[in-house]
Formats: sequence, C-alpha cells, structure tokens
Amino acid sequence: MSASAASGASAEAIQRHYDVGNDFYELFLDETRTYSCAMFDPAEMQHESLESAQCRKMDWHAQHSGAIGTARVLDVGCGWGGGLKRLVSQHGVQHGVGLTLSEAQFEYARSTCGPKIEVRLEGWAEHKPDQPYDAIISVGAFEHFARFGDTPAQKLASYRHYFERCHELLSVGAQMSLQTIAYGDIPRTRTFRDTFIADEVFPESDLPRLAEIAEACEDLFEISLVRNDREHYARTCRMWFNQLRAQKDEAIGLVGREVTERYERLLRTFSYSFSLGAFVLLRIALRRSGRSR
Amino acid sequence: MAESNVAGKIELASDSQQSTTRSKAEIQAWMITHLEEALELDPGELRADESFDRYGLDSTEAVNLMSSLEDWLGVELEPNLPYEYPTIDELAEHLAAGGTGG
Repeated sequence: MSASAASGASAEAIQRHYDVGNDFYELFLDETRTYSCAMFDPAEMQHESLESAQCRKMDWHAQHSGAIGTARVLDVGCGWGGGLKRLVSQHGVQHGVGLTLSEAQFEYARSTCGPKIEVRLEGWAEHKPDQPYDAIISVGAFEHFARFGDTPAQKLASYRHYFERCHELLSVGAQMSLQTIAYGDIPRTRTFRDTFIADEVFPESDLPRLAEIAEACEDLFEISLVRNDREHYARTCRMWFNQLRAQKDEAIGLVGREVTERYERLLRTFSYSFSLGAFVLLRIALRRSGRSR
Repeated sequence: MAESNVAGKIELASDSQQSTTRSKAEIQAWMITHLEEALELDPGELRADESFDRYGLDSTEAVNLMSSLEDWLGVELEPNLPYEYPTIDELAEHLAAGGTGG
C-alpha cells in the first residue's frame, strides 16, 4: 500500500474536484465560502440564508470540539478557511492551523486568513506539529479518507489510522468534532450502474458507514453525540444549485458549459440523494480517551 | 389550475425555461417519451397505468427523470415523487394539479 493509499484519495484526485477555480465556487457558495453542509434553524429551514446557516454550523463545531477559548485548534480539510476565521474572530481561539490538499484553497486561505491562522498544503498523515492541539475539527474531509475498491479491512485501517493520528495530536481529555457524508439506505452489496457521483464528487474515495466510524475510533475516542442532518444537506445543495442556475452565464464564462452543467447535475443529484436517504450527513462529537495506549 | 397550487410551486431560477402550466396529457406524453428513451424501450411498450418498477426504473433513473421534469416544468420537485406516485398516470395527475412534493 502506498503512503497516499493509507490516507485516502491522492492530492491529484482532490485537486481535480476542488481546483476548478475559486471564482467559480464563489458564484454559488455563500459569503463564508463554505463548501459543506450548513446547519439550519429547523423552524426556518426554507427561509434562512445560507450564510446564517453556515455560521450556525461552524458554531456547533466550535462548541462540540471544545475549541472555544483554547490556544491551539486544528482544522483537517480547512477549505478556503472560513471555519478557522470564525474560530479566531468569534470563539476566542488563539491559533488555528488548517490543512488542505487543494492548491487553490491553500493559496486563497493563506492570503486571507490573517496572523492567527496557519494554513498548510499537507495531509493529516504528514502533519507533525511541535505541540499538541486543544481541539480538532474536520468538516467534509473524512469522505476522502478511504479508497474506492478498498476491502472492508483496508477501509477500517484507513479510518483507524486517522483516529490514531488525532489521538496523538490532541492533548489529554481534549475533544474533536467530525462532519462527514456517509452511506444511508444503500445496501452494502449494491453495485452502481451510474457512478456519476462517485466519480465526480468523491474521486478515488469511498464513503463511510456510521458503524465503520464507531468501530474505527474504539478505545481512542468516546462518542458523545451523533446527529444525522441529511435534510440540511438536501437544502444546502438545493441552494447551491439555485445559485448556480441563476448565474449560469457567468459560470459558463468562467469554466465553460461542460463543467457548469456537470456541477448543476452533481448538486441537484446530490440534493436528491440526501432527500431520499441514500446518503446521510453525520455530525459527531468525540472525546479523546484518557487511557494511555 | 387553482391559485393555491400555483403559489405552492417554487420557481426554478433558469436561463431557458419558465414555470408553465402543463396538462396531464402533456405531462404523460413527455414522460413516456423520456422513459422510453432512458430505459431503451420500444415506442408503445410503456403503459401509463403500470408501475415504474415493472420497467426497471431504478433510483438513478428516477432521479434523472425528476431532474429533467424539473427543467421542463420549471418547478422544484421532491425526488420521492416516483415512489409516492408510482405510475405515469398518477404522477402526471399529481403534477398537473400543481403538486411538487411527495
């Protein structure tokens, strides 16, 4: 197994999806430039702005990772840095470190994040900091940690590797939060005729199931809370789709018709998948096991 | 069409199509053409009163059908509609009456 296989999709695969161009994502993402599931006020699901719901999501992670008011927080898969910016500006975090494999995200985040935030173009397996972290947040990265075609044992080993690294990176008693898409009511034996989603959104990647996450973190982390917010992702994707549709001419001008229509299809199909429960959206709060290993 | 039904529709932002009212017969004809092509059936093979299941409409095809219907009708639709209204007849009737959700 190569080094990259042990820690999921390759940098090239990640870049293929995420490096279409920052300007293109800006067309359909909200002001915070967050490309992951928002958290809506349940009473306002159809009316709340995406930006407001994205901020609520970041605040949830700040709270459930125990990051509020701490010295050092790691964001695994930091995207364009919106979550880190909120942590240092709203939640009293003194120093935030963000990891990404996307060069476009890295360049943008590095140039906009300010002195309290350090952004690194590296994977979690290679990240070797001098000091431990007080909290770890990971939103929308775990989807890429296992390779498509892995055996169940290989998949479990990849996930366990991640939790072992997190255990090493965190100080005693620290917490972390994890947000990931997972398979819902898709039978394990199912083979797909149409692999559009797998190829486009999760290149080289395989999604987890809740049971696999629970097994992979056994003895390393205590799971304190699990939420399934799939309706929130159906709504988020639908809002992205509507934004992209509304600015289709601009999008075509930036990336061409083929890419624009590929994203349209992807966002709408994705929204449907969450509506139907084929995919679920997990938000998990974890506490580092204190036992020495 | 009753006003309340029109108000219940969420119009799609679009570059090409507008929200239009279609009759049940128009919707049926559109679905038959679309599904015969998607499922590689011979013209005339599809019956409006038979369940989608019978023609091998899996979830991927169901989702593709709803995407295309959204663009054609110009309204946002819930993807569970083919499950809630499992024949061309039932689904066309529901959509012609202005229904969007399942």
